[in-house]
Formats: sequence, structure tokens, C-alpha cells
Amino acid sequence: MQLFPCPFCGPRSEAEFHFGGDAGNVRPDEDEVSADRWSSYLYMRHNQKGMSPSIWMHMTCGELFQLDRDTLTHSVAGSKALTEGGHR
Amino acid sequence: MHDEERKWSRLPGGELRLATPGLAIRSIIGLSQSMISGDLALATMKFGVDARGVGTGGLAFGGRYSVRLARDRMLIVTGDRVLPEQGWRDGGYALTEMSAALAVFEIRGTSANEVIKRGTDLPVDGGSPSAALVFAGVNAILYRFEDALRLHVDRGHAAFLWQWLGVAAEFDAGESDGGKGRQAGRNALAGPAE
Ligand SMILES: [Zn+2]
Repeated sequence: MQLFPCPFCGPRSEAEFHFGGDAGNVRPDEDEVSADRWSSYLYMRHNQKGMSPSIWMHMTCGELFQLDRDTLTHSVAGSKALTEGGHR
Repeated sequence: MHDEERKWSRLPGGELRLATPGLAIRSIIGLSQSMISGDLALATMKFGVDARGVGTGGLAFGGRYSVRLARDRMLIVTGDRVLPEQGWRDGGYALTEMSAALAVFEIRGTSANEVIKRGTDLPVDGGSPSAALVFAGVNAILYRFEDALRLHVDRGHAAFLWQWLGVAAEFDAGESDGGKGRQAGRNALAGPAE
């Protein structure tokens, strides 16, 4: 069991969180997107080795945030809220 | 007329029959609960409750208090009457009546923390700003109330959690009480104390 830091609630059990994908995988403008770009957005994952930013939701409070975690060691470097300014 | 009521377990009432020393668990009926979403500073000023609200380690007391659920969400608990003005309010918050949506259990006694430890790995006095958590596998709200602990759970999970509490309160059965705690667990599974 690992603790994840919710930017609002603080350290909580990983079981309270839901994975939301790679951070920075921004939805392309549907009017101008190519088939390659669209399929990349939908299906291609970076699968980075090492420190990777990802999006998570803390299900008990609904906070959506970015978690920076090492995919090799699972160690967490930090998290930041995706609210305006990323502050508490 | 078609009646679905028998498909629902009755809301646990009264006190759990427990043999475990230093532990009492009861169901609290009749509290009014209103959820506030949005501008908490404005709403808490209007209703005269603490603007932060208690988290998991927080201490609530009295007949009207606030419990923090999220950055922009809070539960106001009042002893009897429902807060007025349900719905969207000018100024940026919504008030939602939740009294029938959440069952409330109170855990009291020197062994109360032992029960809590079985439901969550969050420290009882951990001081998380939010009181919302996963407890015994279901969404719940946990905080200290005066000399006890209060646990709110979705109404649909009330019967499950009541059973769970009866079983979780069995600790040390066989060693200190000759197995009576185990019997208390079976009593809990058989149904709530009347
Ligand atoms: Zn949270």
C-alpha cells in the first residue's frame, strides 16, 4: 500500500485514487485534427521510464491533480492541484 | 401496489450489542445534514459555522457544526431543524438537503480507535483537512465529535457498515472475554439491536 498526496487532503491510501492518464495529453481541436494526431491522443501512451507526470482524481473529495511519480521506483516527487493557480 | 420497500434493509437503530470492553456503538437518528457546494466562506458566515470545517482529526461539538468534504464542499450538521433555502443561492453556493442520504453512527469508548484502525489506514488523529475517506471499503465521513467518533455513510451502505462494525468490534475475543466478543459479532450479523 502506498500513500499518495492529495493537494487538498494530504497523504491518503492509493486505493482512494483513480488514474486519469498522462499529464499533458491535451485534447486536439476536433475541426483541424489529423487522423494520426487523433489516434495518438486516444491510444498512444508515453509509457515513460522514470519520473512521469500523470493526472489523478482523489475520489473521496473529487480533487483533480497532477502527480509526479517515478515509474521505476514508484516514489512520488509531489502533486499539484489543477485548480486555478494550483493553490490550496 | 408494487412495493420495493422490503428490498431495503431497515436503517440500523439503537445500540450495537457488544461484549468488547470500553466500546459502545450506536446509530444516531434525526440529525439534519445539509451539503454546501461552492463559496464556503459566504455560506459558513451565513449559517454561523466554522469556515474550515472539521477534517478527519478535527473535533466537532455542539448542536450545529461544519464538516469539510472537499476544497469546495462541506456538510453542515444541525441537531434538529433543516437549514432553510435549499437549492442554488445568489452569491455562489448551493445547499442540498442530505439528511436521508447519510446514516450516522457514533463510536465511543477507550477502544474506539481500535475499530477505526480496522476500517482505514488513515491515522485517527491524522489531521487531514477533509473528513471524507474510504472506510471499510465504502465512502464515508469520519471525525471526532465531543468525546466520541462520528461516522457518516451512504444510506444504502448503512446495513453493511452496521454489520461490519459489529464484526470489527470483536477484537481480543477469546483472550480477554472468553469469546463473548465473537458472539457479539454474530449478534450484529443477525440484525440490529432493537
Ligand atoms: Zn482529496
